[in-house]
Amino acid sequence: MYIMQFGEVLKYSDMLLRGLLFTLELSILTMFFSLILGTVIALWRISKNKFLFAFATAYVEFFRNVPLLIVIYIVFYGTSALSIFRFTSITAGVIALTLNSAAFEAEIIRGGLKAIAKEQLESAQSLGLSKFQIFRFIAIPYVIRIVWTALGNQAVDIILGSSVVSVIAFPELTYAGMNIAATKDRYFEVFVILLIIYLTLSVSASSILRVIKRVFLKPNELE
Amino acid sequence: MTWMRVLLLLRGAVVALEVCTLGIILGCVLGFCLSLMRLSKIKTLNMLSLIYVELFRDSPLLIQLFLIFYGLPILFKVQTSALVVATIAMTLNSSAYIAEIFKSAIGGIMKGQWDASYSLGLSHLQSLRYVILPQAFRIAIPPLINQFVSMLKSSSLASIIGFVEITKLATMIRSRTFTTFDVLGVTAAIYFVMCYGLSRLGSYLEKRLEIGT
Repeated sequence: MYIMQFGEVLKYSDMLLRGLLFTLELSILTMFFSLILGTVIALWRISKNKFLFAFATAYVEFFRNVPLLIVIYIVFYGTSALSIFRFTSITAGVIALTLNSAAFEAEIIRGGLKAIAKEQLESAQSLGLSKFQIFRFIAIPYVIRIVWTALGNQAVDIILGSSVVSVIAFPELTYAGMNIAATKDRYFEVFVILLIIYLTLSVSASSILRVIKRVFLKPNELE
Repeated sequence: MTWMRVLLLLRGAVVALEVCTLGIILGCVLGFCLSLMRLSKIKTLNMLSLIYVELFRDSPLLIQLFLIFYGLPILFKVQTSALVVATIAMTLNSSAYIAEIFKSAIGGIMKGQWDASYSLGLSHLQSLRYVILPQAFRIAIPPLINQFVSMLKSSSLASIIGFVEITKLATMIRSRTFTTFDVLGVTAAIYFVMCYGLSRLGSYLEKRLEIGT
């Protein structure tokens, strides 16, 4: 008869907390970098320069069709095997997650950019707004509003996907949990606790993003 | 990287495809029930389905795999293989997403269709069975293919609990031969061909099916 002992696991809550902080740091760094990279790729995807377009398309298709785990292995083991770089597991984790989610974000942002109606830009121009003003006051708020929900889902995916970097010993929540489970031989209890923590994280992340949308972003008529 | 090893990886890819096919079939059955629960007027069924869907969509698949892997022997006293664990995890996880696909497909059928079938004297169940569902299934095919693609990618995680499919074979070959870059490159290429091909098929079908609606 197996008796659940959550107390045994919760004694290690400081380790879990440290892992949680790593998960948060990793997720936030990834969101930041992938948003920048994703925007660049999205702009290349709609650019008229054939070379940039081809590169961006290849990038998006590659990272959307290869599992995150394989990307992590390539970044961590592959690069050191070619002896170009030697990444620590932390750097490799951030890079792999960023490369992966930038591909998905690029497609979301591209969709947002394409949704700006030509007439809207023309009418802004006829009001005498400068190019920068159009960009700043018409295009950006509009695109942000359109892509917000999809990017929010992607942010949750980043949090959930961050658990995968535990395979290269990135010291985040899942890895911390695996260590505790192995020392105490309490695998089931540990993963129940991890499940609850991840659920809390992703549900609160999506709620925060929804509140921000409701409070700060003005609705536009196309939704 | 010898041809033998490439063949071995391809064999692993077939295993991954098999598990995902099984997973999506079972996931469709479960997901369909969940979507009907979501659309039903009984509050309890509604809540249960909602909780199920959110539980599986808001937690990492890796954690779900571990929970099933360690939970089955403890909770149900069954010793199973990694294959069974992977299939169960794929089924449970995908059914949450498939429930949403079916829900929006059924919900996407115009209200006029319901009214029309009622006016023909069909009961609620008959309307669902003969009018709504055939159309909803058609709408659901492209997103189901996308779901299959994302399942195929995430099935690589099952290698972590020791399920021998393409990713596991890749790590085994890697640690034995130290030809890291070749092995991972070939593995990525195989995944790419499978997933890219399937998603192209998905968008092709999406365009074809749009004509009819």
